[in-house]
Order: sequence, then structure tokens, then C-alpha cells
Amino acid sequence: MEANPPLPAPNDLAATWAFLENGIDQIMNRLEEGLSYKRYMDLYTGIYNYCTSSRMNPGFASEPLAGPGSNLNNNRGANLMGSDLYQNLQRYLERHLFTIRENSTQYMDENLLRYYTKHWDKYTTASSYVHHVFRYLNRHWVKREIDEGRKTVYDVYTLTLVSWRDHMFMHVERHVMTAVLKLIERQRNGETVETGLVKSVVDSFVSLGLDDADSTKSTLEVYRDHFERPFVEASEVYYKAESEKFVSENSVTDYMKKAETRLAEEENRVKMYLHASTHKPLITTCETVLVKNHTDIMWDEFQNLLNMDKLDDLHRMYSLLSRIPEGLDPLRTRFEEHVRKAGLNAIEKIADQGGDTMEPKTYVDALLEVHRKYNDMVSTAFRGEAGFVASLDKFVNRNNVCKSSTSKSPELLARFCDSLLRKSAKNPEEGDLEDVLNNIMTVFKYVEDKDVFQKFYSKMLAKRLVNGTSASEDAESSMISKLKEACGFEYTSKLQRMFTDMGLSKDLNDQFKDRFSVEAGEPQVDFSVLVLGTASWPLQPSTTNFIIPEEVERTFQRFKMFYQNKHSGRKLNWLFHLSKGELKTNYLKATKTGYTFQVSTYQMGILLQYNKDTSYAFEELSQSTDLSPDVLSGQLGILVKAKVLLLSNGSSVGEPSSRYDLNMDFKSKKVRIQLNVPVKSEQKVEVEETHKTVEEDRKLLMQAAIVRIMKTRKTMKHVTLVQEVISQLSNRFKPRVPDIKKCIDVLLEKEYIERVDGQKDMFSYVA
Amino acid sequence: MKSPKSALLGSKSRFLKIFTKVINEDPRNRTISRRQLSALSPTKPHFPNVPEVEDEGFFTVEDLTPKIDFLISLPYEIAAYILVFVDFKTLCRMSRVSRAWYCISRDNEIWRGMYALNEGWKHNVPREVTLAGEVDWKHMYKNRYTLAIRWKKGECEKRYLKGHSDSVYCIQFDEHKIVTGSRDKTIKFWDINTGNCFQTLHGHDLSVLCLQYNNYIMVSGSSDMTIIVWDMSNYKQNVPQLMRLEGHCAGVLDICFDSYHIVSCSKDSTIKVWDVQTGENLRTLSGHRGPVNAVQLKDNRIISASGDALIKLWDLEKGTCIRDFVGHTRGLACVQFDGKYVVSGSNDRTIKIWDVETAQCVRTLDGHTDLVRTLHFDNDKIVSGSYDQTVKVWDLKSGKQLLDFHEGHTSWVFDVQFSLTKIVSSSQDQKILVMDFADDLDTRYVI
Amino acid sequence: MTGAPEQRNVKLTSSEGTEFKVERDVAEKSVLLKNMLEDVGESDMAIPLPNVTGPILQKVIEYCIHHRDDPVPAHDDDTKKTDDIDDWDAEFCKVDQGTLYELILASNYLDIKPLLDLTCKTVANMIKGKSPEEIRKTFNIANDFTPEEEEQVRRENEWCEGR
Repeated sequence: MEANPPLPAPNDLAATWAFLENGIDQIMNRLEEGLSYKRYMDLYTGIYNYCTSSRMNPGFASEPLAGPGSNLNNNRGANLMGSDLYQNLQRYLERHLFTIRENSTQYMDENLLRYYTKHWDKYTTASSYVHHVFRYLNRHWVKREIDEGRKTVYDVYTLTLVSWRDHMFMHVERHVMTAVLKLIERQRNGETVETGLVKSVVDSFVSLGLDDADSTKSTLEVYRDHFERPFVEASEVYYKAESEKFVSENSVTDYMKKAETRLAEEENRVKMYLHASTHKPLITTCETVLVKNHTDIMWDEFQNLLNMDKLDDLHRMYSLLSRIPEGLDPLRTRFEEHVRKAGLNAIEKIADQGGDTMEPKTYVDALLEVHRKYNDMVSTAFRGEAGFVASLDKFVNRNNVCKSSTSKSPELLARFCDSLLRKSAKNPEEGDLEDVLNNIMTVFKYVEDKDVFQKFYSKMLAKRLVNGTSASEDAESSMISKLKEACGFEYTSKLQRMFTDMGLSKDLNDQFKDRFSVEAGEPQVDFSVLVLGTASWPLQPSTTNFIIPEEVERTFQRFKMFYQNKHSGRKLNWLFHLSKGELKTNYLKATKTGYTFQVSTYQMGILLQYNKDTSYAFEELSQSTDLSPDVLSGQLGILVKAKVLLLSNGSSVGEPSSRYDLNMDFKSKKVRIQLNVPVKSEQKVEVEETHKTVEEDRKLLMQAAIVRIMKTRKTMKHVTLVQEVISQLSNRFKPRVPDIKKCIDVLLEKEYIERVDGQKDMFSYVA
Repeated sequence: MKSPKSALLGSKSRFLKIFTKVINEDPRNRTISRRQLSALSPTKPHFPNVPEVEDEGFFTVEDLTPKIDFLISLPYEIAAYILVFVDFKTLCRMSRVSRAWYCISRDNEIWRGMYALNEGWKHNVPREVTLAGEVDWKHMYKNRYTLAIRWKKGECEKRYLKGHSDSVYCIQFDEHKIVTGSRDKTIKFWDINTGNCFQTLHGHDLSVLCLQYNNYIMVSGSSDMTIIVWDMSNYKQNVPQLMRLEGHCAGVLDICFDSYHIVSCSKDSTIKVWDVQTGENLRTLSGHRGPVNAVQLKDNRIISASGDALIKLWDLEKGTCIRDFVGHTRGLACVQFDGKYVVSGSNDRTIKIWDVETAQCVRTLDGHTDLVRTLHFDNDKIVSGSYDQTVKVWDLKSGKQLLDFHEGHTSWVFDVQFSLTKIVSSSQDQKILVMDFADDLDTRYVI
Repeated sequence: MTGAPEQRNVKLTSSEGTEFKVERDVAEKSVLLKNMLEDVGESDMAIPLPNVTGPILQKVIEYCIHHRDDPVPAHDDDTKKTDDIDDWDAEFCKVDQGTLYELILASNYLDIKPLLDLTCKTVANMIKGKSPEEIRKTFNIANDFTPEEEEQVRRENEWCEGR
């Protein structure tokens, strides 16, 4: 039990202070012994009684009245009691801290830290008690002093902190910091140390940051000046030495591992026991010392790592260099170069093998392989960063195969699609097909000239549909929806329209058949028609006249009538060069049942002539079929080659007065013979024509875009107009500026737009 | 110790007699008991009025519970805390209760707080002065309050400054001096406290119509179509001319300037912007179709008022007119602009307050019976001067006329300016009138 | 009265030794008791309040119970108005001056700001609007000015009157 001395008389300062000092001493030094309610209340009451002993100045009644402006001190705070207690407390704290400080001199290093933090904890805990016990002083005397503008009076808790700062901290902080830095260095060297000590020192330094201008606010000034700065400086020195030594003795990849570990350690250090505000200066300094100072060796190592596909190391290098400004720039450049080279090498290899007639699959596969490899690298090692992703497309549009123009890539890609979607023995399984199509889309996304792809694709789709060679309707629609997803509805609308036409044609044929099987008894020939909208189908009209063989003439006429009845006003153009038929032989001895020739309509026209005679001169056939000599000789060439007809009189097909006899001894192992094969020369022409139409279409697209833009903007500068056109068309192709200029000129000429008078390079829309 | 409750029960009948006795007592005899009182412990409250003698004869129906002189009995800080809850008039009345109440009701902190409660009562007491205890806040309050009351009632000391030999067109003043420009072609400097003219400047060839000064320069405009820039840095000794700006082709009617630009307006219906350093004429703003009588510059915007009955707001940098303020039915004579409101005076005898952003007239003040020639306003009030020879004060927010000074001038009022303590006006009667509301008040720290 | 026998009761002893039991949240209306309970912790010991008598402590407890759920007043929300006293508080303050005086001292000692404000406002309201003579009467104060002094003081303060 503690002794409870009686409360002192309220107006007896000496007795009151003696009483208080005893209690404060107990709180400061022996708080662990406990404090009873009684003792606590007595201390509070002692202070209360002393402070409330103030009354009106006893002198007022006998002295002359203090007039306005005179002797103001008499009725100012002088009436409030408290300054004696405050000063006594201040002196007590100074004495108390002096003792603590003196005792600290016997300690060093960890022991000093232990001593400092122990006393700090004890002191601040006790101080908050003292602060509460002195609350009455705080409420009135201290408040009035502060209200009156005195900056050197604080509330009691702040006073204890100020006292610690002035009488303890200022004297020992240097030794304390030396110890702290040593401790941290030991930890960096791998020793296990008591980090709680550092944390306590940090807390203490932070608490001592008192704003002199306003004691209710705190700053980090003390911590920053006395802890953070020396600490960061020490860290810099430490890591400078360590990294330089390590680099000289180890490989770059090992160094990167080391740096990565060190940075993680320092991040952790801030979290564990430093003030959060130190994160930035510390980490920035470490990044400079550990990364920035060693960028050269890392940049040099990058190519090696790429060459050896060292994903882990690449990732580590990326993470390290991403910490410093511009650290990654050389990597991006080198990576792009590397990928481009790899891509070009791959293409070169296959270009050597394939020559001019590059197999589309080989090409696309080669592209895909390179893409897949580096795409994986970007996503694993470079966090999928856009700057690196951009490197991937460089080799797609410009490589050895596409020497002449960027449109070769899309063409090959479209051909590859065709080979996959066309009926063939090599068609992949459905599941695999989907994967391949997805891969195609991957490459497709990098293709600049998407309009070229569209042209070829629709051309080949048309062929597949007309010739009935599409392998799977599902695969077709799957591909179209992928394209739609990538380029939008407009891009695929024509393709979709083609499928619609196919469906409509099927219905039409059914109706036609129903109608005429009833009306005319048995139909003479098995007849089927595709009615396709000119706008959506990329089909060229025939370049030659053609007389329909009389055997099919009637059916042909009937259909025309039937269709005109149904849709008056529509015009049917017959594309005989795309039509085909089947003929059954009755003249051959080699077979009893006869062969079936699968033929083009032109071939049919030629062969049916032989129902009347078995030998015709070129000119005779030309006259009876009305086919142009080119087409006729091409078709004859196939028939002669297949030995259905024999060339007599003349050395080569198509010569004037060459004759063609029906081969009565024709033999074949197959019952059905395919004669409807494309004429070689036609193919090449077609490709060139396709490319040419692309150019024409582009002009129209650009002009349309210009008009569209001008219509909304009314007037526009040349430069901005060009930019706008490029951005509007970029998902189709990359318009060239001179081409846009040409289009602008055309539109100026056509007076869609005009130059604005007096303003250079300014156009306005002509409504 | 007796608890108050038991005191209450036991003392009903006893106190009036003592009370009577007490008030008849010679105060000097009370001194000793006061001294004793001040030394008493607060835990044992002393009830000086609890009687010790019983007297059945004084029984009344009045409050018979024991009375306590709270301010004396309570610890000083709590006594002072009670005073936080009363108003200043009560505080003053309290000081007349007794010597003790006199002292406590003068508590400086209480009066400082009381002063701070008044919106718009600013002061510039330096911290050292506060700490040295040299500010008597009751005194501050009294002076500030009296000043406010005098403004409210229009009570002021009037004094005339005579010296110009013709109409006085323009004035500006500060706490030390008044500067005036006259039809007698001179500019005069007057000591505001003594009323003595201590400087006369000759420079213009005709009437001085307008002027503005700061600590460094003064700019004046004249019927001689020129503007003179004067060096003010040593105005007590001499005020040399720095440069003369020529460009207007008629009298310069008004000018104003900031750190970069001088803006002038003229009878030639233009406004000119000049570089304050070089005197270069940067641009000329045309648009008014009559003489531009008044102009003001604020935050790179210019407001101008013209005889064409229009107010225009201009962009200083671009030199373009931002908007017109249409509403006055006759030509304008004066305009002022604080960034938010525009206040204008016109030959149509009204003053109009406008919102600068919407150009809408917010309020029209009727009262003058002739052309409103001049006005000046702050956050609270407008002071105007008219050809009807009066100076009037208006409330800016309500538009009410607060004061009306009839007797000041015997002819047209040309210019009026006011400060916290004074209104200074000038007239065709060749006199300058100083109306001082702070006469014999201590307004040292009042701002 | 004593607090309902629930958990977290705090025992308070008045100056003459009377013990009061109150729930902790009621006791903590007093910043003094709140701080002390936080510092020293709860125990079965009674807390001695040497400066407060039993009857006054009872009044204070009554006030604290009535206001136990009031929000903690915002820091430095010094409302200087004296006309914001609600009916219960006004009724509470209808006591003789001696009791009011003791309540002021107790709320000041125990550091219960709302009660200190209430009681001080009550005294302020007793002063407001009264002439010096009426004030003297209200509090039974002797006029200890000499006639000359009284005149001096009157003149000194006439600036605020009427006009």
C-alpha cells in the first residue's frame, strides 16, 4: 500500500508541488507498482485545488480603479493560477531526463538502443498519465496562454515530448542512430537482429516531430532529418559497395537475382519497422544504386538471354529495368529487332523452299510459330506490356514473301483459309479446324491490308459456294463470325449475304422443279440454278458469247420465264463460265454403262456438237458455240489433253483449221471423269485483277470517308482531314498520304469540297 | 460545512435585513471581507450573504434563498467562462455592479473573443503587441463599436480643405494624405490630419480630371489630352514627372492602373491600354459611341461607362468587348467594379448594381435628384456624389439609403472616396470636404 | 439513487463518504473519470471524489444519466448562445443559487463540459438584461464604489448604452 499523504492547502505552492512531485515521481519511475484511484484523484485534486485558488485580485478593492488602457496585466491571465506548477513540472522533467541521459552513457550499440527504447516507452506511458492528471492545468491556464499567442507553452503531453526532444533526444540521437545503422547493416549481412528496437526508435523520432508554429500539429521533420537521411545515405553506401563487388565477381544473371532479392528485402524493411514515408526515398535510392548504375551490363546481356530463350532471366531483367525511367527503352528496340529477324528468318527458310508458288499453309504456319513463341515470351517475361506486344507485327506485313507489297500476306492468309474450308482429303478434324482458324485470326489481326484479305476471301468463298466445294457450313459461319468480331458487321455483310443467296437459290430450284414436273411431265435435263445478287458476289461476267446447246435450251427458257414471273424487273445474267454439267456417253465401246463426263458449260456446248458429227474444224466449233477463240482453245485443250477429243490436222490446239475428232476409243479406269478443271492462265490473271480491284475500292473508300468527314465538320484543315481519314480506315488498310491527296483532288474537281478562300490548306464541304 | 440545501431550508427569513444592511454599509468596510474571500478554498464556498442574525421582522415573498456572488466565489477561470455567454452590453453594465465585477468584466481575453465575434471587424494587431499585453480589447471594442454606430447615424466631424482656385475634379486619400486634382491645372497634396497643403504639382496644361496613385507612382489625366506618370517614392519632398503619355485626341476623363497596365478613357470615345513600365500604347479599345467617362481595371478585365448609356466589360489582353450592360436610360458618369458586382451612376439619376457575369441589373437605387457623378463602394456600402450637391450612403445588399449629407457642398459633387473612418468629397465649389467618423477615436489597429 | 445493478459499475464516494454506484458509461460523462478509468483500469475500489458532496453528486449523476446517450460534442463547438437550453435542462437548473454554485464547481472539477456550459449559461441568463442595481439585487452584492468611482465607471461604459 502506498502512503497517502493528506492533500496540501490549496494556496500553498511549496506544499502542493512537494505533494505533486512525489506523485509524478511515482508515475514516472514506479508506475509498475500501480496507482490507486485515491492517489490518482488526490493528484488531480491537488492540482485542481491549486489552480482554482485563484480569485479576483485581492488588491482591486483598495487600489484606484484601473481605467481603460492602464495596467492591463492586472486583469489578464495573471489571475489564473498555473504557471508555477507548469514551470515546476518543466524543471522536474529536465531533471528526470538528465538522469536518464547520464545513465545512457554507459551503453553502446544494441544495449543503447535497448536502453533508449525502454525508457522512451516508459516515459511516454507515464507522460500520458501525467497529462491526464494535469488536465485542469491544460484546460484553463495552458489554454489561455496558447490563446494569447504564447508559442512556448504547450499542453502537458506535448511539454513532455518537447522536454524529451531537448533534454534527451538532442544529446543521444547521434549515438542512437549509429547503433541503429549498425544493427541494420548486420541484418543486411544476414544476421538475425532485434528489429523491434529499430521500430521503437522510429516511433520515438516520429513522435518528436512537433510543429513549432502550431503545437497541436506534428511534422515528420525530426524523423526525416535525424533518421531517414542518415539511413538512406548509409543504404546507398552499402549497396554501392556491394553491387560493384558482386558484379565484378559474378555473371549478370546472378547479379540480377541478387538485386531482385535486395530490393525485396528493402521493401520489406520499410513494412516491418520504418515509417511508410521512407519507402520512396529508400527504394528510389536502392533502385539507383542497384539498377540504374548497372543498366549497361543488363542491356548488353539482353540479346544473349533472348538468343537462349531464358524466360526467367528475361523476366527478372524486365522487372528490374522497369523500376527506372527509360530502363526498358533499349529492350523494346532490341526485342523488336530480334522478333523481326526471327520472323524474317522463318519466312526466308520457307520462301527458299516454295519459291513463287508459296504454299499458304506453310507461310501462315511459319508466321504463327514465330508469333506464338514471342507472344508467350511477352506475356511471361514482359508482363504482356504493350510496347513489347507491338514488336510482334513488324514481320507480318513486310517480309521476304511480301517483298513487293504488303498485300501478299493477306492474300496468302485468305488462300490458307480457302484450303482449310474447301472440301479436301486433307481437311482437319472439326476441333482442330477451330484452332487453326483461331491461329489465322491471330495473324489476321496484325495484317494491315485487311481489305485485301476480304477481297480474296470473298472471291474464294464465292467459288466454294458456286462449285459446292465448301467442306462445312459450320466452319464457314464460324470463320465469318470471327471476322465480324475482329472487323465489324460491315466487313462481313457481303459474305453473309452470299450465304443467304445460296439458301434462296435452293428454295427457288425446288419450286421450279415442283412446278415443271407437274406441268411438262418428265424434265428433259436435271437442272439447277444459283441466283446470286451482283452486289454481294465478286463474280465477273463472262468475256465470251455462248450459244446454249439446244438440248438444254428449253429448260433454260422455261426457267427464265419462271423467274421473270416471280420477280419481274430483275435481270438475270448467266455466268456460263462458272456453270457446269454432266454428260453421259453412249458411244464408247470400252464400257457398257457409259462414262459420265463432268464438264464446264462450254465443254458441254462443244461436246454436244459431236452428237451430229464426229469431227469438226476449229472454225466450225467456233461458229456453232459462238465461244471466243481464246476460251474455245482453252476448253479444247483440256478435252484434247484428256483424250476425249483428238487433235487431227494441226500441231497445237487452237491453230487455224486444226480439227478435233471424237475419240471413239476413249478409255478410263474411272466411271466419272472430271473435265471441268481451271485453265492455268486464267488463275494468274484473276489474282492480278483482284489486286487491281482492291486499289479501285480503296480509292472509293477514301473518297467516301473524306465526304463523310467533311459533311459533318463542314470545314477542315488539310492535315487534320488526312489524319481523320487514316484513323477512320485503319481497320481496313493503311491509306497512303499521297493517295488521300489524290482523292481530295478528285473531290475538288467533282466539287464535293472546295478550298476556303484566303486560308491555306483549308477545305470546306459543298452542300 | 453546510450543504446549500440545508442552507436553503434554514435561512428563509433572515437575509433581507442583512441585505439592507449591506447596501447601506460603507464600501470601505467591506474591503477586509473581500480580501478574506479571495483566499478561501473553492471547496468551501463562502456565502457572505447567509445571515448570522435572525430577524423575524423582514419576511417577504421575494426570493428568499441565499444569494451568491458567483463571480467572486467561483475560481477566476470559471467566472470568466460565464462571461463568455453574455453580450458586450451586459459586460459593460456588469462592470458597474461592484469593484470586483468591474475588474472581471474587463478581462482582456473575453473582450478579444467578443471583438472576433463581429463579422467584418478586422484588426492588424501585431503579435508582439498582443504578447506584451499592450492591447486593451475592451478599448478596441469600444472604439470599433463607436465607429460603427457613427457610420450608422452619420455622425462625423466635417472639415474643409481650401486651396484650389477652381473646381476640384478628383481625389484619392490614405491614412496620411489626400491628393486632389483641379480645374486650376494643379495637383495638391494635403496632410489628412492637419489639413495643410504640402505639395502643389504643375504639369498639365488644362484641368486635371482624374488621378490614381500607389506607393510608387501616380497617374493623372487631363483635358490637355495627355496622361502624366509621376514618381511618388519621395512624395513629401518632391514628385517628379516620369513620363507623359500622348495618344488620346480629346480630354482624358478617367484612368486606372495595376502592376502592368495603365488604362485610360477619353472624350474621344476610346479606351487605351498602356504599358506601365514603358508607356507604350499597347492597344486601343473602340466600341463606345460617346465619351467614355469612367473606367476601371480588375483582374485583366476592364469595365467602362460612357455617355452612350452603355457599360462595357472588356478583355484587357484581347482588347475585345466581353459584354454590354444595358439599362441606364441616359449617359453614365461613373462606374466601379469589384470582380463580382458592377455599380454605376448615371445622368438618369439612378445608381444601378449589376452582376458582372450575367450583365443583369440586380438593383436600382433611386434618391438622387440630379446626375450621379461619382461613387465608391466596398463589401457593405456605396457612397455616391451627385450634381444635386449631396453625398449619400447606401447599403450594398439591400439597396437602402443609409445616410444623406445635404450640407456639405454648395455645388456639384465631382468625386467621393471613403475609408473605414472617412468620406472625402470634392466639388465644383472648389472645396474638399473631409467627413471624419473616427474623430477622437483610437483606430490604430482597426482595418 | 443508485445505478441499476448491471455490469461495469463504478463506485464513487462523495466527500462525506457516501457511496454511489453508476454504470461506467454514465461515469464517463466526466472526462476526469473517463481518463482515470482508462489509465488505472477498472477495479472494485471506490473512486473518492473529495471535492463533491453527496447531494451534489446525486444531482450530477441525474444529469449524466439523462444525457448518457448524447453524442460527444464536437471539438471546440463553443456555442455561445444562452437560449438553447431545453426544458429538462432548464427544469434541472431551477435550484437555489447555492446548489447552482456547487453544480458549477462539481462539473468543472469532474470535467463535464455540457453541464458546465448549462450551469454557466444559467448564471449568464440571470445577469443578462439587468441594470447594475438589479444585478446587485439578484446576487446580493454590495455596491463598493465611491460615488466618484461609480460616476467614473458609468461614464466609462456609457458608450454601449442606448444611442
